Amino acid sequence: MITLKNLEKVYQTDEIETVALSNINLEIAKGEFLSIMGPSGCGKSTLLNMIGLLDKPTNGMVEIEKNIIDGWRDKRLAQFRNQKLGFIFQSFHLINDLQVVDNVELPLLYRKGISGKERRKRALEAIEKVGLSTRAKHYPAQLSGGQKQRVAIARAIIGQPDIILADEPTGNLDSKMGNDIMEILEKLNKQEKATIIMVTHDERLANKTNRIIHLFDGKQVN
Amino acid sequence: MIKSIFKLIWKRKRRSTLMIVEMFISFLLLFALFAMVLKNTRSYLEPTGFDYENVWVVNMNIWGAGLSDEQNELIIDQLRRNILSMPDVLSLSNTSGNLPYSQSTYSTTMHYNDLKISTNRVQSDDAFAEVLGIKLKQGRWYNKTDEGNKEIPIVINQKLKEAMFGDENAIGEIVHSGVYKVVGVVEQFKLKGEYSEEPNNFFSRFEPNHFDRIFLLKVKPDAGIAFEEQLIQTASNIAKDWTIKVEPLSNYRKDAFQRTWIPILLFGGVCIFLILNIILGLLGILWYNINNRIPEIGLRQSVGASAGKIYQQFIGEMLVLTTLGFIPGILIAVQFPLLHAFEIEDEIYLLAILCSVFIIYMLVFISSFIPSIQAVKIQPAIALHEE
Repeated sequence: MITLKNLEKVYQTDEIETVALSNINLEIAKGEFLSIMGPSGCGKSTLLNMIGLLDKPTNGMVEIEKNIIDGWRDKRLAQFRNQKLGFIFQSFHLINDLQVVDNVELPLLYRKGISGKERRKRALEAIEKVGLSTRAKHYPAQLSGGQKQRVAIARAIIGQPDIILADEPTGNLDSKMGNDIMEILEKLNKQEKATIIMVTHDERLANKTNRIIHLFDGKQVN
Repeated sequence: MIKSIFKLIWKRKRRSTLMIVEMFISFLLLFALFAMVLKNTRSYLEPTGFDYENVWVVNMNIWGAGLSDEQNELIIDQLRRNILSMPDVLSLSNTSGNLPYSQSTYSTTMHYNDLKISTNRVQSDDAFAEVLGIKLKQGRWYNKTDEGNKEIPIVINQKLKEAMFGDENAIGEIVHSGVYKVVGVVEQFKLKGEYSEEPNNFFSRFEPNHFDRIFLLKVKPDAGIAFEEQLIQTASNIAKDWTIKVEPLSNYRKDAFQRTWIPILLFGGVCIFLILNIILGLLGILWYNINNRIPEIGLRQSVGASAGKIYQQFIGEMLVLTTLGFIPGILIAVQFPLLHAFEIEDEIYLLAILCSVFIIYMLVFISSFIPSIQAVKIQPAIALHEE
């Protein structure tokens, strides 16, 4: 489903060249729950951003569902992200001035042919899936960290993407909340057959996934 | 999208209100400026009804010297003859002090049947029309054939003709309880010059032995400084006790232009300064606002917003705020044509509203587009990590 070949990312400034990723080769099957582990600064998030088409590799190839992502224009990339990918971030990235339901609706706002009524219905369904039905009209500031992350998961799944990319989704949560979030992700993987790629520092959570990829200094070590 | 924009604006009420007030003030300032500029431009495009070129004004302080009317009349006659004999002078007219472009006005009320119509009056001799190149639409200018008649012959402008007679013929009509007889109609006569509105006007012939302090001279196109010196010399020799001022009518025109444009330019300068401040403030607020929202831009991109959609979001927010500022502004602005304020035509006010709206929308569009472009250039991965 996802193929990375000789992936490389180099950050170039006037004086310094920083290799963030080097020679990454990876195959991820449909429905797989994969975790990426490694110390801070080893390139985990960079790798996730490459897979999520949020950043461009310096060299190498990203192939998702038989689409080689190369030279795509902004509009095509945006459309692809909207339809195929769902993101969950460590810092939630909710818009504080929008209610939970409006935050969850956001991806559908950029999808053609979905009425406001349909958006609202699907947002409420997604909120229900993460167990936050009673908080749909709340603002992010009125929620706990765990609840915010549930909102972010609801937002990631509303568009029924094939792939969910989670960048340290439990990083800002205590272990109880972290476990709750992990349960939701596992459920999405098992019941909805979503392919999930999760960056984490937490070995305990990584062990719950199908496969673990270790990175060190931008290189794959297993 | 629009619903989402309204939600964000509503939630950010305090910031949004500030923007709306800025837009409201900008609109009113621009509206006032455009109304003035458009009114004057429109006036300028309408003909004055006379020709100011190669016309000189001899302004005589007749009554300051303490001479008798008979003495003054003799001097006037002698002056008239001598000036007319100068080779550069084509024609000469003695007229009242409210000459074109001057600040003097002689307002009166004209009675006709049950009508009482406010009008300006200019008194002159028979050569007035010739000196100023005034074209008649109907009838004739007054002349010696009118002497001895009971009524004073008058020429009226078309505006006064329509006010008094409508579509009826005016020539030969006796008005103002038998005092005046209409002998001619001119198409237009804007006494105060290009930038003025045309008032109701009538010209009346000096009664016999009547004279006034102004000579208007039509001169040859090449009459210059030598002519001016000769004219002053001639006048000073004849009217030794009078103070005489000679200058071309174009100087009066220049002064009238300054009287019109200086206040507009001052007001315009103040408006532009204020609007510039508002625009700079707006640009600053938008830069700050967009910079603060870079993670939001990254998020929107990650969930599928293209650069175009990001522009739509930010520009849309600003255009909605601007529109909300326009609503009270336009409600105030439309009162002016409804109340016929300042005697400005409705179209001028409507055009001023449209111009103000267009200019502000353009400025807001540019002010929000530039920081949006900068923000969208940032890779989503980096934008998401900006704090």
